[in-house]
Amino acid sequence: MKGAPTTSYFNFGAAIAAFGAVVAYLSYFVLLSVPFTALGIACVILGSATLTLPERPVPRGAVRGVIHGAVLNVEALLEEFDAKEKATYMPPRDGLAVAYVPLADSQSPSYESLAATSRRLVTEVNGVPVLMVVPPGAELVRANELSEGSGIEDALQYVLVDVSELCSGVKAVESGGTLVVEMKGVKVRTEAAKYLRCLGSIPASIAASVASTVTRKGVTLVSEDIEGRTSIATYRLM
Amino acid sequence: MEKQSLYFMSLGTLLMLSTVCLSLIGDFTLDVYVSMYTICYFVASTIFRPRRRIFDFVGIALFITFAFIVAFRILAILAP
Repeated sequence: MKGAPTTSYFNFGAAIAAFGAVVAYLSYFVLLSVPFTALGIACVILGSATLTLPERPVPRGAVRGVIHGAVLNVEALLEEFDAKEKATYMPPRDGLAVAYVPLADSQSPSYESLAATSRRLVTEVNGVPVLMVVPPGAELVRANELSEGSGIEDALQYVLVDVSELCSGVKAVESGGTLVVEMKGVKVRTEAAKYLRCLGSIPASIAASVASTVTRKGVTLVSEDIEGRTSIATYRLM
Repeated sequence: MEKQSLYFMSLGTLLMLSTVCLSLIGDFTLDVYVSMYTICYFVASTIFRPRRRIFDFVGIALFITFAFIVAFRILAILAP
């Protein structure tokens, strides 16, 4: 069992702020020195800023464990139905973003037909059976209340880098009906073969959920190139 | 290194550098130091965007102080 963290932002920040307050007070009223007073104020600012930081900003193991658990659940479903086609991520309806995986080799159903379909595990759209799955990104999108007004790159940066810390940088370019997303410093991998094939890697899958929410369009992963810790995903917007 | 630690170290470095540089350059009043600290704080916060467990009261306090400093400077120019 691991011990308690050795660094406590709260204690450290409080100590620095208190030290700075004493230095500033003494420097201003006793030493009559502006630079030392300023040094004390700097310590107060630094200490106070540290007080606002969370003790454990991201329980990385827990977050990744939960995401992997969600991926394995989806993988089991995809295995069971022997899914092979690319999924289409749909924008949230009633607050929940889902993805539809066609179970037959055919052209992807249109956005309108997918949007109008009932929310059942297996349903039929234009004569094509489709499997509905809830991707791991759905809850991240809902929890962070992304709206249509957000820019794609800003939203991706926020969810993938700031909130989930699944990668260290994101760039997105949208042109016509195509969206290309470059994710650098990817920190999570999955071995789930069906998931990779149908929904993409974990960051690409979450990026698709974010993109569909922000654009209010259906998003289908066309291809994904993974080189080391960089992943370039290309999506088609419907 | 995690983002929070980087933010803490960068902010500390920026604040200390500002203090040392300003004290070496010349005799500045306290409001110049505080203005520089405000800029350093917002630069570091914008670059690292640290997650906070409470609202950013330091940023708000610094911004209000900075606004007062600027207002007093303008007043001093307009009505010496």
